[in-house]
Amino acid sequence: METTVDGLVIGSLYALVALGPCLVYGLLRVLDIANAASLTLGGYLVLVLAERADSPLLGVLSGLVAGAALGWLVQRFIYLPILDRGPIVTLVTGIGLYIVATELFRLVFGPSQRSAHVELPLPDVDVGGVRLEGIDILVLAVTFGVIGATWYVLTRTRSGVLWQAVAQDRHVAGAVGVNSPRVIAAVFAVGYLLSALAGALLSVKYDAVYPTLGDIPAYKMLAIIILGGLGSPLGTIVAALLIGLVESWVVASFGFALPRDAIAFVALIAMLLIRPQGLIPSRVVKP
Amino acid sequence: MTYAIVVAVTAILMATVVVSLNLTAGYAGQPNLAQSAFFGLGAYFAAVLSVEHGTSFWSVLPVAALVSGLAGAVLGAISLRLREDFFAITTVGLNFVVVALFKSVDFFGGATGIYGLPLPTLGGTSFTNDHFLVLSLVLLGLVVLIAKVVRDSWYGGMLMAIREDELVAASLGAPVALFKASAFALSSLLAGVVGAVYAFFISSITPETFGFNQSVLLLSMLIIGGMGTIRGAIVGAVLLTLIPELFRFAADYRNLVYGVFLVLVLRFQPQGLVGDDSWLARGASRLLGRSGPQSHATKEVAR
Amino acid sequence: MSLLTIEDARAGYGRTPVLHGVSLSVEPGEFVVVLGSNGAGKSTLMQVVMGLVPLTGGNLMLRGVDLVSLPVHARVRHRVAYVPEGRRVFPALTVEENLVSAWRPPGRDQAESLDRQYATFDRLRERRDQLAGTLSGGEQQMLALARALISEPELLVADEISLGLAPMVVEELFEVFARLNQTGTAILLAEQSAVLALEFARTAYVMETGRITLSGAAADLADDPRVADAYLRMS
Repeated sequence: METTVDGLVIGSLYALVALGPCLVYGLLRVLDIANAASLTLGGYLVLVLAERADSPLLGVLSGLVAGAALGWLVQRFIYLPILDRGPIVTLVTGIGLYIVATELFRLVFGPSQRSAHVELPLPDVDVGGVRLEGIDILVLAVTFGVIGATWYVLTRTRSGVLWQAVAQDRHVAGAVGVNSPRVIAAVFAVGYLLSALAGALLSVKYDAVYPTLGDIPAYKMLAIIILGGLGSPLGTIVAALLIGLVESWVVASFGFALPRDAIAFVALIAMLLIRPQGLIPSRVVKP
Repeated sequence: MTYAIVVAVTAILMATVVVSLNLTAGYAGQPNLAQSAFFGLGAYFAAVLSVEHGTSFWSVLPVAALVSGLAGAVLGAISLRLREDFFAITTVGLNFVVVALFKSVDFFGGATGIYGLPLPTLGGTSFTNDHFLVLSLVLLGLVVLIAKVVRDSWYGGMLMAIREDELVAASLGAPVALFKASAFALSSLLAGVVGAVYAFFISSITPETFGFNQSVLLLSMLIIGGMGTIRGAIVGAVLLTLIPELFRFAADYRNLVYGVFLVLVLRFQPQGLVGDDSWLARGASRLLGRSGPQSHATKEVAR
Repeated sequence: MSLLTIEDARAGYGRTPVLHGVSLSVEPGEFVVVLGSNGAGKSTLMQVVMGLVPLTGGNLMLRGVDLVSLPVHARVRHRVAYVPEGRRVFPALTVEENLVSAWRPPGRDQAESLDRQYATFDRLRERRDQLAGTLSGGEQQMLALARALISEPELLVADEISLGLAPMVVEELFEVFARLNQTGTAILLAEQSAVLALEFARTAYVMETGRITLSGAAADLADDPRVADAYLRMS
């Protein structure tokens, strides 16, 4: 049971990180690895503001603002100008950006793992004989709240319709008056913001921040958005939770027979061979 | 002096792998972010056979070629089923799977890697760095020769047609599936041989050496030099091997320089520094253009 | 002042020029048709007006406002609407979502805007919750038109509305265009099917390989032997 909760917590954090790149992929067919830099940034800002201003909450908030700003900058000055160069160029550019970000974190904050020492005034809770840590409950509440809100916007509001319209036909969307550049900018800003939030939660949960904090999420989220059906938000959320659960169960049952981080990709390759359209095929992207 | 030779051999071996990568990523236009996995398979089989079973350097080479070539053929077969971006991520994942295998399967010696590969011998004398320099140059020459033959053949022409449009290639009579799979097999086979030589050269290997970062580095070399050109593969590989050495005085900033350089080239010169239609290539062909009718031939050779 | 003025427009794809200096104007409330065979550059001209293909030379003015500097979506706010060639509705959105996606003039209520289109296109109301990709060709064309009209345009730019549709459906569409035109909407229509177009339009232009080769009142062009030869025989 602890394993299941652990898997859900990890899975919901994966979902938070993968949602942005999933939406970006739907719009632009760009696999945006650089998004994971926002996760590390979110982690470090909690650390810095907890140390300097004794306010981790301010750290979380500044992480959200900084993440959104980073997302805006990346699409405006890097991705949009090279969009018609094809998927290899945008993918490797994203990897390059991520490397730059990691190196900057290392130079500014030092290479070693640091701890924010954030003590949350949260009690542990007993649910049906299972002891849940306060931080786990917080992570689950926040991530599911945010995921639910994102889901609501996508399916129940005009903004969601505009995202779909731009995803299906960017040029025609512009010609019927949709401000596509603004939709793209907004999706990047929100996607990076969600990753910054995930980073903040991660840094508090594991009490550790390091320059390569985003590495594993960066590559795993690629597997997750494919597993979910590229460009399908619901599929991405389901795939993220599944991967989180499967990883925890496998690690708990077999020890370290297979390194945890390869599991997502083994699942991915198996999935691609059996069901190439993904778990929940996207409405906007045809395989 | 020794140090310079070590850097030179590394640069030449990297250039050889990148020339082999150019067959799939450049000519056939397949997003291949798994080249270091095949490079690593070659290296690992060479190391295991030589350290655990005492197999000699020269008998190890064909085994490394075979294993990597087969693995490449499998990846090539997968590429037939998947769209471009699905396939790109599959190649990303392959790195993690292969590294996981190196770490956790007993045959590969576990997370600590394999140490103490013996020096290869030739006619009774053990290899020195000078021997390795000659060997790597010969290898580079061979692989460049193979790449040139491929490029100028109908086979190579059809690979490039596949890159532009698979349907058109098929309508021109190319067996698309066979050509794609064989390009991966050939490219991986060559990478496997280089991997074996590399393993003997550095004499100890660890799983992480052949991970995703190395694959990114190899593809970056090709992109920075110029995708689809042999000269681009060599220039990119040499440049990205030398830059960290030149920045040794500022070791802390080496990776930052690499990342910034990569992003800037992709953002402002996506066809690579010496690729077709790059500033340098255009300038060079303009200069050569003034030297009369021989210019076209010169350009062909320069490629 | 003309509503739309195109002067010496030049444009193309990559290094291939398609328009070699096209001049044309649309007066307020006028119905203008551009005739021409496949590849004459009609579609490119329509895309230039919307900003989907950049102009490489010449001028493009709407009521004296320079359109060239405006991005695609901003042109819609200046009351130019577009019906693309091949309909290009958003196939995975419902009929209603297609209409919701279009820009509405400020202050317009969404329900009211949609109702007005449903009143014109009864069949769309019946199918409001159906995915647009599952509609018939004629219904998709109606949806593309309704989607354009949500922005209450002064100038409607339409590209090949008759392509691949049954003659009865085409006739029906032209009736809608005529009614729109009577209520004051200017129309710039690119068409291959010349008979109906010349019957409904007031002014006609003929394009060949990126140039205007003939122009005049639609009625006169319908009688011109050169037009009859090239465009009326087939249709």
